[in-house]
Amino acid sequence: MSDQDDAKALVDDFEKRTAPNSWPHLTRSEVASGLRSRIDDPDNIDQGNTSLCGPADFTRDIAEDRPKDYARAVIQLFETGGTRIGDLDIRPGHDLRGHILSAGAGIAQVDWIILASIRDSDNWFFDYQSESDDASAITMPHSKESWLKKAGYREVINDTNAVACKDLPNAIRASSLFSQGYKVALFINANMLSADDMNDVSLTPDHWVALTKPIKVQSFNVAHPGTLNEDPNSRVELEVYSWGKTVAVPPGGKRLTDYHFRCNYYGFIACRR
Amino acid sequence: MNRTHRTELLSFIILAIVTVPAALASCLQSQSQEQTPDSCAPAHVKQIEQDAASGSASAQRELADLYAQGRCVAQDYAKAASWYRRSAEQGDPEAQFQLGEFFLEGKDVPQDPAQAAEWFRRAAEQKHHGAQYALGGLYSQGRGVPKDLVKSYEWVRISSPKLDRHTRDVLATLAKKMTPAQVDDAEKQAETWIVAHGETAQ
Repeated sequence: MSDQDDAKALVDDFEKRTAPNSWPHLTRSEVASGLRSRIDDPDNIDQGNTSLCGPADFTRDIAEDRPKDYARAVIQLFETGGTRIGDLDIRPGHDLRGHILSAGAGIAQVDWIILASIRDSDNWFFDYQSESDDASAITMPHSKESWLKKAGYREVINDTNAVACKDLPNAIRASSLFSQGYKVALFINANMLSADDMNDVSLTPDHWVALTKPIKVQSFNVAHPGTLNEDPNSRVELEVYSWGKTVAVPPGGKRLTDYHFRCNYYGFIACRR
Repeated sequence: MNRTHRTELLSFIILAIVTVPAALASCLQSQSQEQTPDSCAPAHVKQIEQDAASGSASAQRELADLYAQGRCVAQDYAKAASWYRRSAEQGDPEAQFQLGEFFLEGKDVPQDPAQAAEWFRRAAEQKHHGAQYALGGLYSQGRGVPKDLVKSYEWVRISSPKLDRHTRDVLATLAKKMTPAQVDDAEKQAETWIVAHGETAQ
C-alpha cells in the first residue's frame, strides 16, 4: 500500500467513529471528505479569505511528502485537540476550538482545523472573531523556518527580508535549489499574482506561495545584481501554488519585467525532505 | 506558435543559459567574500567579544551580526538578540534596526510588532534609511502602530532623500490610496524632516 492509501485508511476509520470531537462546530464527515480530497491532491489545501497562507504552504508540504502524517495530524486535532508533526507541537487554544467559522471566511473545515491550529500554536496574536484577510497576521519567515525544522525537514535555508525586497540572484538561487530537489516557498506581495496590480510596487510582503516549476528569467540585470534599474525587455515567468491551486505568474499571458518582479519579491525558504 | 514567438523563446533560453550561471557565480562570490578566513580568525573574534563585553556598542553589534548570520560562530538568534539589545540601548542605529527586525519576526524573542516599531523609530530618527523604510511599511499595514498612510508615505519619502525610482514607485502605490491633500501633507512633513536633519531632498 502507498502512503496515500495508508492515509486514506486512517480517514476511513476516523469517519466510522462517532466520538470524540474537540471542535464542537466542525463535523466529522466534512473533515473526512476534505482529507480525502487533499490526500489525492495537496494543492486543494486553501486558506480562503484568511491570512493563513504560511500554514497553508507548510501543510501542503506535509500532505505531499507525508500524507499519513498529514491525515493523522488533522484527525488527532479533531478528536483530541492536539497533535505533533515531528517535533512540532500543535496545541490550539480553547477559544480557537470553540470558534464558529463564518461563511465569509471561505475556508474548508479540514483546512481551518490545521492551519489555524498551527498559527495558534505559534503564540501569534490571532483575532478569532475575524478570519478575513489581515495582512498584519502574515507568518514571518522565522516562524516558517522553525516549523520546517521541527517537522523534520533538512537543510532549511531562509533567505528572506521582512521589510525590503530581494534581488534577482536571490530568486535565481531559489530556482536553482528547486531544480536540485528542494521544496521552495517564496515570500512575496500578492500584487505579483494579479493582472491589475502586478506592476504596483509593494512596501511589504503579505503572501507565501510554493514554487512548482523553475523560475525563467530573461534580463540584462541578472549579470548585474544590486541594481533596481529596469531592463524593459526583461521577462520573468514562474508557476506557484497559491490559494488552493497552481497559478502562472504573470497572469493572463502578460509580461512581468525584472523590476516589477523584484518589487514584489522578498526572498525564499528552501528545505529538503 | 509563430516565427516571432519561436525567436523570442530561443533568445529567452539562450540568455537564461548564459546569464544564470554568471549570476550564481557572482552570488557565491559575494558570499565567500563575506566569510574570508581572516575575519573569522579566533584572535579577531575574541577581540570582538572582549570589546563587546567592555561595552563597545559597535563591537556588541558586530558580535550580534556574527551570531545572527552564523558567521565565525554557531548561529544563535538568542545571543544575537541579546547583543543587539545591548548595542541598541547605547544608541547604535544599525543595532536598533536589527533588533526591530528580530521583534518583527520573533527571532528567539517574542514576536512583537510594537517593539519592532519602537526600535525602527529610534533608528529612523538617527537617519537610518532602512529603518525609516521599515517604519513606513509598518504604518502602511498597521502593524505595531495604528494604520496611517500619511505617516507611511512620510517615512518612505524620508528614507530616500534623493528619491530613487523604487521609492518613487512605492510612493505612487501609496498615493493611490490617499487623498491629494494627504499626499501633500505627507510630502511637506517629509521635506521638513529631511531639511531639519541636514539631508538634501530632491
